[in-house]
Amino acid sequence: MRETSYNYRKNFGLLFVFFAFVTLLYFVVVFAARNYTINHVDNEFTNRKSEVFDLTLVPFNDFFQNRVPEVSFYQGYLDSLEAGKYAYSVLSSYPFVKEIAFYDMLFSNDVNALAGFSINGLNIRPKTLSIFTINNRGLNKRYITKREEMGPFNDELNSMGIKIASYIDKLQSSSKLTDRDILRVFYATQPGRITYLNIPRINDLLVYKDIMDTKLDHIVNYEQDMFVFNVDPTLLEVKNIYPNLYERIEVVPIVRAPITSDVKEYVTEMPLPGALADYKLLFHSGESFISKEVNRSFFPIVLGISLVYLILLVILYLIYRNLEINGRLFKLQYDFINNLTHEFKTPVSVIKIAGNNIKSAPYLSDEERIMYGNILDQESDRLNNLMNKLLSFSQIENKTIKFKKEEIDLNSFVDNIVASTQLKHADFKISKEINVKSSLLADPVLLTSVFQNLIDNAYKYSDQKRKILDIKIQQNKKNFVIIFRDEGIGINKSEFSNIFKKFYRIKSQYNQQGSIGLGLAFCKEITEFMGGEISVKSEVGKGTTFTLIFSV
Amino acid sequence: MRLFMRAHIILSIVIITLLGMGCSENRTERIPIESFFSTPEKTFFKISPDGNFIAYIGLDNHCKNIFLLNLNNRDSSKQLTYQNDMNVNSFVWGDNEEIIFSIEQATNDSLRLYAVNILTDAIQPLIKPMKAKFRWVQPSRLYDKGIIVAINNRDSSTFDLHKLYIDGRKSEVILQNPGNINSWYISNDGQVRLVMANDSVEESLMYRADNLQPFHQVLKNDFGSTIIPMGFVKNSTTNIYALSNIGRDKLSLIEYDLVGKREVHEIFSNKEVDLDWGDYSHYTNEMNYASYTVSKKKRYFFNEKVAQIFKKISEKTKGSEFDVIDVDAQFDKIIIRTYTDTNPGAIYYFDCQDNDLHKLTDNNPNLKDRDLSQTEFIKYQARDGKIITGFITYPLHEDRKNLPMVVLPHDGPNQREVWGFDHEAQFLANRGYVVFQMNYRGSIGFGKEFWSAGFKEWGGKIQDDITDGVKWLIREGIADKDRIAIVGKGFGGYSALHAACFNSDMYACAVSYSGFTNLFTYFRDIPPYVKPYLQKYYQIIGNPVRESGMFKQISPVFHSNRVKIPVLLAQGGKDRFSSVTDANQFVQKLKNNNIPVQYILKEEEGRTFKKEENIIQYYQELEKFLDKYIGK
Repeated sequence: MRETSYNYRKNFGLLFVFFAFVTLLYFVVVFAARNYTINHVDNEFTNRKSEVFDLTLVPFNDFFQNRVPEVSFYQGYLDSLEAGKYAYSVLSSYPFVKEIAFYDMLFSNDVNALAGFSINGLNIRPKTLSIFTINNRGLNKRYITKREEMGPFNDELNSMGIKIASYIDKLQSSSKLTDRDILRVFYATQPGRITYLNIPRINDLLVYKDIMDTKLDHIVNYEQDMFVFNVDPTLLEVKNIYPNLYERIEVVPIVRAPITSDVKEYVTEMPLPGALADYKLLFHSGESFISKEVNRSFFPIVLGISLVYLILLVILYLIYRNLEINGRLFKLQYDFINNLTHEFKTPVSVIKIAGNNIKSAPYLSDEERIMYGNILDQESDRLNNLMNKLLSFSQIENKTIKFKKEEIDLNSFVDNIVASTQLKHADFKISKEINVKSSLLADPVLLTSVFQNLIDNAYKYSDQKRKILDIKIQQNKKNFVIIFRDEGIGINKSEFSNIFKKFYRIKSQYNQQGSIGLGLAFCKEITEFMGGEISVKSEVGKGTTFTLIFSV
Repeated sequence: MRLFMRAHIILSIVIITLLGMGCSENRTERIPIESFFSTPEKTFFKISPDGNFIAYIGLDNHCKNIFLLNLNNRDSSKQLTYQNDMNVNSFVWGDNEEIIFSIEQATNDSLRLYAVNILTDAIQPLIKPMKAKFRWVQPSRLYDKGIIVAINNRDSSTFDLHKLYIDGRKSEVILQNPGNINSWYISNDGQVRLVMANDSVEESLMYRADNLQPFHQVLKNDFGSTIIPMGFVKNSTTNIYALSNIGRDKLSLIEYDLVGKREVHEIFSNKEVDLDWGDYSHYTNEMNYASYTVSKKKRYFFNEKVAQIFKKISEKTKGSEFDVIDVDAQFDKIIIRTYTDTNPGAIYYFDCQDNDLHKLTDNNPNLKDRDLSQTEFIKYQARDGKIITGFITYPLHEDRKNLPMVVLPHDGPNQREVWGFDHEAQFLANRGYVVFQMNYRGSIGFGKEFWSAGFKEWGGKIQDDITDGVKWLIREGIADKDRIAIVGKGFGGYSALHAACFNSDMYACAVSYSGFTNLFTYFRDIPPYVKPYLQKYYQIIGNPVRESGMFKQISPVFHSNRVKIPVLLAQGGKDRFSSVTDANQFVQKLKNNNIPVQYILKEEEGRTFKKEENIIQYYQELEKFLDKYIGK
């Protein structure tokens, strides 16, 4: 049989263009990603500083917003002992608070009081002035009693006095203390220092106003507490939450200019707020440090891009493989049509010739009539046979036939088949040896067609003189083993895997006609359909053995 | 199909509605908040000495004015004053014709005193309006056409006695206060023979034979002991009836000889509780009865006629308890207020002529005939063995088992709970909560020892008494241990906040209405005119300077970080005892710690909300808050 030259059209050029395009894209994206990463790290370097800044200032804000106003809770009732406890808790939890001065203040209208700050009859003076610091032995207290020691502490007193006095001056009896007033009057924030006076009740302020208006005729004393907190920003604990971005973060005086050196350095800064305002946070990173960071963040990106690239390549390979398979399938179908037409052609042409001869002959002798009749009968049988085979095969393929299980007595079953075969082929020597105890559960029609096929094959592929078949059936504990052994032309070992494929035919003189390469494929399908197995053993020139195994 | 679906929906609605109706039969209907807390329209009923008229304060044009009922001729009843931008604050019958009254526009307003003649309707000012406060001095009536009142115009921390005349004479200071006198007692002849002076912790009784003599100290009480003069014994200017716990634990009725400086004899006492005020008649100068309250008020009569009248009244009130509001000079007409635990009752006057009650006004008409919850008297033992009394109000139609509970410690602590109609408890019980009120140690009325047991125990043993009561109710199976709220006003609010800080495990939520957030603040704003009491406060609570550590320990504002349960805080902007700044700080801290907090701040209100809409709003928020955290 000639090789078919027809082929499925496969455009591998398109696949190649696609591959080239994807590869190019891969390199472009990797390049762009690298540029992006560099920019990103650069931006991060300048932007992330505010987070470090916020986090670093958390303790300070907590101190300023929560602990300082706590003084007001005491409503002026603090004495130096209790103030010491408060100071200790502040100093020990906020290391940047270096020193706390506590003024146990009296607001009075006692004009005879010499010390303190006086304005319009309102005398503001500290009863006691204590300075608290902390060391590893605990709280350290110092009381200022001498006038000459007071010097540096008077400024705070006076400036607070002026602020309070000017506020009281404007006070109306209907006034309310707003948050703005509170921050403006009772807090004094300057670099390195926070002064806080406990916020008096509005009624107290009105009494102070009465004092200033000299409305009171008896001496009154009101207690107030004032604290001065000295803070040292350099003791702030810097929280570098981006150690990958910032090599070093320092608290430096606000006036310090960045030192330029030969080594290129990334630098950014952030001024500290409020009482810390004369310092700033300075962020440094060396160039190599930054490029390390760039590489670090570039790596996952490039990994991701490569992964996408690989996936595209895999898809490309799958498309290629799909094309190949489709090509083979196409070839198979083409072969099928090709072979089938050929198969149909022979009987059809014989019928046509016979028909023509009958038509053109002036008369037909009995001999001729019988001959033509036999020819027509044989050829139409052949056509019918072909069509049946095709039909049942496609039915099995599509699983549309049902498996009808029946008990088959193998002895009589084989006898029937052998008898009918020998009727057809008188020269065929079939011996049988059947040794079974029970009957086989299978579909008799399908099993008949398997037997028929194997017997036909044995006949077909045997030399004229050695048309011999030996059928052996045995039963062991699990299985029925059915063996068909002929002494035919044999099959090459390399063909073993192919003979059960559809439309596969071994090129040989024995199958010039009447074969479409479906027989063994059909047998295999049916056997497996019935839950059995089929296998082949063969030696070229000596014969072939097919073995069927069905479970008991 | 579509039609079928619609039918289906309608059917479900019908079923749900039926189910809903079925449920509501068993559950208490929620009575609107307004019904519980509406302010009465007619108040302050007072009868004229001759018993012919009853005057009361009613509303006209949204302002409080005096109205007059003519008992002999109802048709000639009339409105006496026509203030349309001021409220009549209080009044007294000067005699049978003159009513003296004070008016004000707002709290802490200037002092304005007027007299009105009920026959001519003529109104005359008694003094020029001045920036001062005044107090009525009992018995408040006209003595020689003059009313004696105490006014602090000279020095805001001390009150002087002024006599203000209605016949045009110039008012005069009849007794200048040396600085420590805080009560005065006027004899029938208008002489001030008896005063009480209070020197920080010690009080002393001063006596003089008449207005021209100097005062002599009769006795001096150490802190905790007290004598409360009621009035002079009939026909005597030296012997008085008084309630005294000198030398005994419970306030008892005694006769005291001011000249002999000795107790003549004990007239009546009760072993369990202090005596109440009882009834001393300023007209006859006789004790009519003594009274005391363990759970319900009991009276011990000295006057057979009065006893008979009270018996008749009792029959007429059909089992309701009643309080006497005012009586005329003859004890002929008696104004009473009736009440039970489930009935706010009404105000009547009893007329001895026809032996019948005549209704003046219903106390809370919206709650009339509603199903309300019963209040039961209870006793339990605190951890140190002290017996604590209290009241439980159960919700209606519920098993008395495993109920959500509202713990309601009273304000004070110098107050006590008594059996009666309690609007707040009724409101909460109506919402399905069992309400627990207790007289923790430090409450008054149970004797010196019980009262002083609460000294310096704020947040200490007082708090333990509340906790022990709650534990007891959990053990008894009445309260559901996971659904307990603590709610209170003033000191009760302080207890709630303290519980939120230190006992978050026991309570599901806490509500403080003007609760003391900071005890330093509590002291800071004690106004100048109560300065004499400052030492007393030091004894009761502690000294904020010398004991600042303890103050810090028990002030909720310092411990806001420990609060773990939702808190509702209601605060008036003008509250003297707890400042908005503290409350703001407290609320802010809770918010920072992600504790659910509801904050009602009313800038214009004081410690007790006065505006009805603010009161209603507070209870609306309270209702929602409790529904959310301990409701079903």
